[in-house]
Amino acid sequence: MKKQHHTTHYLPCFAPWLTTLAFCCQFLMVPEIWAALPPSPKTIRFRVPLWILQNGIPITPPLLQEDLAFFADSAPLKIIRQTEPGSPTLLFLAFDLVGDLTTITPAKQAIINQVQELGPEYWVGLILAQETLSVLQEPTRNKKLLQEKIEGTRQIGKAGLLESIKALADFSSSLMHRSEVRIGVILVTDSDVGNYRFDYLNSSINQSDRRDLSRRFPDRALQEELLRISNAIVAFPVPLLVVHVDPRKDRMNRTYQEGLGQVANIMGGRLFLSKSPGDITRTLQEAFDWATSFYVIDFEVPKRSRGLFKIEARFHSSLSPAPYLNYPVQIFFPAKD
Amino acid sequence: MYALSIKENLTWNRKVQLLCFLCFLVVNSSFQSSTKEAKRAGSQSSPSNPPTPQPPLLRPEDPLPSPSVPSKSVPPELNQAIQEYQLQIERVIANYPGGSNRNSSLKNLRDYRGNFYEYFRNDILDALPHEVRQANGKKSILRRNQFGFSLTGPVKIPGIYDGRGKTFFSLIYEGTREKISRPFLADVPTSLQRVGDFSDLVDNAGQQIVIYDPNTTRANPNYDSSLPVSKSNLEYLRTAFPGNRIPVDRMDPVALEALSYYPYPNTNVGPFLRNNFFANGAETNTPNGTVLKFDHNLSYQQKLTWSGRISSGIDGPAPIFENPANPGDPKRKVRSRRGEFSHTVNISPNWINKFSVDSTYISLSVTDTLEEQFQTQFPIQLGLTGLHAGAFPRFDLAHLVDIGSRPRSLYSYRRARHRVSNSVSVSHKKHNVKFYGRMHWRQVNSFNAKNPSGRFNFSGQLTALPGINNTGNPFAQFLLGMADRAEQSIVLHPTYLRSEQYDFTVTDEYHLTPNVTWTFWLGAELKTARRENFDRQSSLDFNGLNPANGRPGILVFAGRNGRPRTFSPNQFNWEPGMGVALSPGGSRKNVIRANYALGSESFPLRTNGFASLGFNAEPLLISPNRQLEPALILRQGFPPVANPPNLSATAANDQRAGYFEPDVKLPSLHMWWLEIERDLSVFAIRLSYNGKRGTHLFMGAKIELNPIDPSFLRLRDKLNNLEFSQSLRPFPQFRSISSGHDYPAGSSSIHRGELRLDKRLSSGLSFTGAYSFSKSLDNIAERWFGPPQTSTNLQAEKAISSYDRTHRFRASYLYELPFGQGRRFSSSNTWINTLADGWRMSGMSIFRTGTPIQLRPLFNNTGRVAGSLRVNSIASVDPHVHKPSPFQWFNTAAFDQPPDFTLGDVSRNHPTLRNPGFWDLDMSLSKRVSLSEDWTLELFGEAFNALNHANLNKPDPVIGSIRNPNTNAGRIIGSSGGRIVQLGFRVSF
Repeated sequence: MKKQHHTTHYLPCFAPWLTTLAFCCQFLMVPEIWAALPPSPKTIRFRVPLWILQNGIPITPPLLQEDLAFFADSAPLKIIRQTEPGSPTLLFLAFDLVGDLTTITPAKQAIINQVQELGPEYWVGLILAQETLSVLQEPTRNKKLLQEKIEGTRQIGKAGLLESIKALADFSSSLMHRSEVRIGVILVTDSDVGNYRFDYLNSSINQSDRRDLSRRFPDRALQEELLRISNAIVAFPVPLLVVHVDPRKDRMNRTYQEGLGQVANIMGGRLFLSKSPGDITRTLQEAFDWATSFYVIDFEVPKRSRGLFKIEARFHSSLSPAPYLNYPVQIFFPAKD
Repeated sequence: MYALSIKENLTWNRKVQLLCFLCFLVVNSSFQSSTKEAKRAGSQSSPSNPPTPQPPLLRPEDPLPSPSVPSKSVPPELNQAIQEYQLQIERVIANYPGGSNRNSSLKNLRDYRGNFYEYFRNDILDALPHEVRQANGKKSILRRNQFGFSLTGPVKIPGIYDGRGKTFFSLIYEGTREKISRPFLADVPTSLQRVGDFSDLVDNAGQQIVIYDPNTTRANPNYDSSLPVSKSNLEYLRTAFPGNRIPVDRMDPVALEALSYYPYPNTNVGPFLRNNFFANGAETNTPNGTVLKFDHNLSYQQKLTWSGRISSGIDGPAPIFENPANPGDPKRKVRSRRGEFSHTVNISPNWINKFSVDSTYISLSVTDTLEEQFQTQFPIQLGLTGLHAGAFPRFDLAHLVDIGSRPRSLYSYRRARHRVSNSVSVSHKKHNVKFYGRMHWRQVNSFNAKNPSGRFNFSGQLTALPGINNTGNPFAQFLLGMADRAEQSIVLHPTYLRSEQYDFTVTDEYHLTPNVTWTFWLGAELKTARRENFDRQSSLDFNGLNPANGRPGILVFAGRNGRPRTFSPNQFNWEPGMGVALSPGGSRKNVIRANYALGSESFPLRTNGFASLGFNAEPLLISPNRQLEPALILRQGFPPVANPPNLSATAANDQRAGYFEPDVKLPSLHMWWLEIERDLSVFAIRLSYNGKRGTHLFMGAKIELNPIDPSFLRLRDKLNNLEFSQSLRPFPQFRSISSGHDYPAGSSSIHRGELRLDKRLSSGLSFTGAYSFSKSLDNIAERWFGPPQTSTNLQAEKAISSYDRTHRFRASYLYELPFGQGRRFSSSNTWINTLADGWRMSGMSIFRTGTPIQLRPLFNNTGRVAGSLRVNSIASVDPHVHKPSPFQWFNTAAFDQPPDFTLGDVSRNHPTLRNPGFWDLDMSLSKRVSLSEDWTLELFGEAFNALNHANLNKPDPVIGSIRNPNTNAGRIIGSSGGRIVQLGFRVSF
């Protein structure tokens, strides 16, 4: 059941050896391989992140399978597996930092501190999420190397989160569903919506056009873009935690931040806004707390018509106050793969 | 998302059944890798020919990542995940915009983003504006199309240059084609009055106004100079025109010629034949704007950006008359150009340097060239002699619609600004320090002929009983051709003004503890005084003795006779500030922020040709006593004037002189701000207070620096004699002295508290509401309201600010309607879902209480001592009414016209009486349609003032005397506003 999803990294030069090895091992693997036959063809398997929150803070109680139930249109779904916090995890840190050192420097330092505190089960990869995705560092446990790379991250250029978030979601979601481990993404940004190459500010082009009412709702184009992104990434549930270390307070930037929050929520994650430069450390700490405390639930969904459907999770717990579950409430069927 | 589909699983099974088990693992691995992954990644591999593994594709500027081969100690599932990572990151990087696998034309298109749109407005969609309905008008024409596009992406020249990941462009265009009518309601003379019959002329109380013959003026032998002038104690006697009719042979031919351009009444809104002219001219606007930007990544650490912006158009205000005597603004060409270049380099992770240069150019000019304008001989056509051509002569008729070209109708300017700046940001331990330096050059070239073909004022006093208010009429005086003031502008050269500014600022952000961050900054600013490129500037020197009368005060010229090129000194200012942000108790839910800053303002480079006397001329004729004799009779023309330049010390004598204070203090502003923010899950509450105290602020209105002391009001009617009143001025050789609109004697204090509630987007709804309470005090006289009552005591002008609105509330919301697939209300029918999905409603609402009422008296009979006379209050009478209504907004019985030659005692802006408030609700409904994965169509309709709410106009603030009351005082005539609807679409890709 487990092995069916493995995607072996093929190495042709070693193919004969692998073939021989596989041949030798076949007898050992047969039962497991046959046991790993795909599930009933009438169902599709999904993996979604889930947080258990108490007073808004993620907690990590032991999660018994009988305590958790998932429903789609009131019909129970078959839970196949639960992956708990503390299990092997690939954590990706994506950067969209182009603003002022005043916020970037404490943000980098806070990230380095948080990475240092991660346990050995965490492999951390660094990605630059500007314009397109690019790799700063492949997943590693080498914290010294990570520190060097984080400190050396580029911090000039154009904001690019909106251009790269779909690719990031696609990448991380695909990875999560093709592996057995937890995959988490923390996207750290300081982007001002005015710093994009594309003119999301919808600023006036003709100053002499005094009766221009098209900008009375100036954030319409931005909302439209954010909605488009939301609709595109709804097919990629992944624990995406967006941390904005320098959120501006003007109307356009508030719309932008709300859109980022919506995008993160749709994917099952959350947006964290730093309230001041001094708050950056705590904001990132909170994001890392979330990144280390989520569960991944695998469940099967019976075949249905193409499109979005709602899922609902119920958790039976004796905890007081009653915990609250955070997960993507809409799933796209079938997978956009 | 990955999930094994039914089809895939079947394929997998089939392969397992077809191949022997020995091959299974190999097939399995190559199947997963080559068929599915290669398909996604665009790889050329096949199951039988597995591809060579590739490292993640990197941008050229990216550093090579260190390989991180999992060790044997790594759990197998993690090992497998890391290997899967290689495939996924390769696939994503290659296939998303900018990726190397995007070779087909369709994929190339995805490298570009953009949209095109159209906004459409038409009067069919709009409600009839309330002000038009009240004037019995019809819906006026409105045609407006606003369209544009934007495109952003990498620069690619096939076969030559591929700028993906390196060089990008962004192109935006927007154009508007608009024709819109503008309603205008005002007073014009009645048909009877046009032929000299003033039998229908009544005052605001409906009582007849008598027109007197100025040619019958004679001294009253029975006048008792010890008593005030009154109807029973007249200083001068004057005989009324028989039947209140001016004989035709007494009418001035120039006035009659000008009258042929003056429209007849066309409506009768009233009261008393007032508001009898309604115009609904078409305003046109045809701007085109383009923005082009490039940015280029020179290397991993360096970036170049360039942007250019061009906008051109013709701004055609709605004409009030459809002939050359239109008193409104002329059509003007508007052009703006802006270019910006910047270079940013990341010297090290803790050191960023940004250098930028930008230039802005804005110009405004009349549509016809100046040469063409000057060839138009309107003065000669009217029979007016002694005037230059260029515009239609202006006839000011007090409360009636004026005739002729508006002052400054030939006004045009070119304004340029060039800036070079550099900033360095350095981070070290707990400090983040930023150094910022900027050089700023400002240039204004302007041609400003205020009244090129003359301006003539008719106050009506020459047809009044001298010294008696509420008699006479300005139009009657116009028919007689007797102007009590006449002027013209002779401007031979444009003015080329220049100034510079040099700034240097250091900012240090210090993270004291994780909960406390301090920010300190200190700015040093050097602002040079304004200078004229050809030294065509003049000012006054009060140490020099005027050759004409031996009194101090002569006109002096920049750069001549050993004088410097500028009159005011260069200004150097320190601008310090500090701020703190803290989280009490280390809680992320609460944040307190506080700031204090000291700022300053510099003299603006005005475009009104201020202080160019001597190089230009503004001959001015003022009646020696406007109750008794005219300054000029139209048919006699303007007396000959010598053309400038006249660079003598006496060139400002009998003129209005401009003056630069040599030791002036520039405006400074102390600003402080405190904010407490609390986060409540989906809500955030913010309570803030900010204050501002300004000193030496620019006054806005012109301040008379050569005033007649109010103590001379005791001289009463003698002040009407120009020669006598002029002798009372400190510098009697000058008619007036001013520093333009920039006399720095104002002070202000503003206190404002705001409570704001934000609901973040949840359940499809986001909401923001903000209520603010504020109070603002100042002594700054607004330019549009006129000068202060007296310039000798500016502190007496202190009052509630004219813009003060005590209460303001604004709200905005966005609601995604819960219909469609995956939402609360969905249908199993695909078509219904498609129709119901993607609807959003948004809106914003503003409510604000009114500004203070600015009461003013019906008459200003102070012999030029009071600039803007105020009213008197009547003790023990409450100015408020129980229920303010348009019929009585305030109690006019609480106020009175000040007696002649006295000042009013009510403050400039009434402390408690307020104009009606303003309320507006705008709504928008939009529908989003997905055309494909990358293309979307958005349709929207917007309604401004959606509920077609009528906001009341301001009440009539003019207070008459008990004998001559203004019956409209305190009443509100009409309301304004009307629903405007705009439709549009936007296609985004």
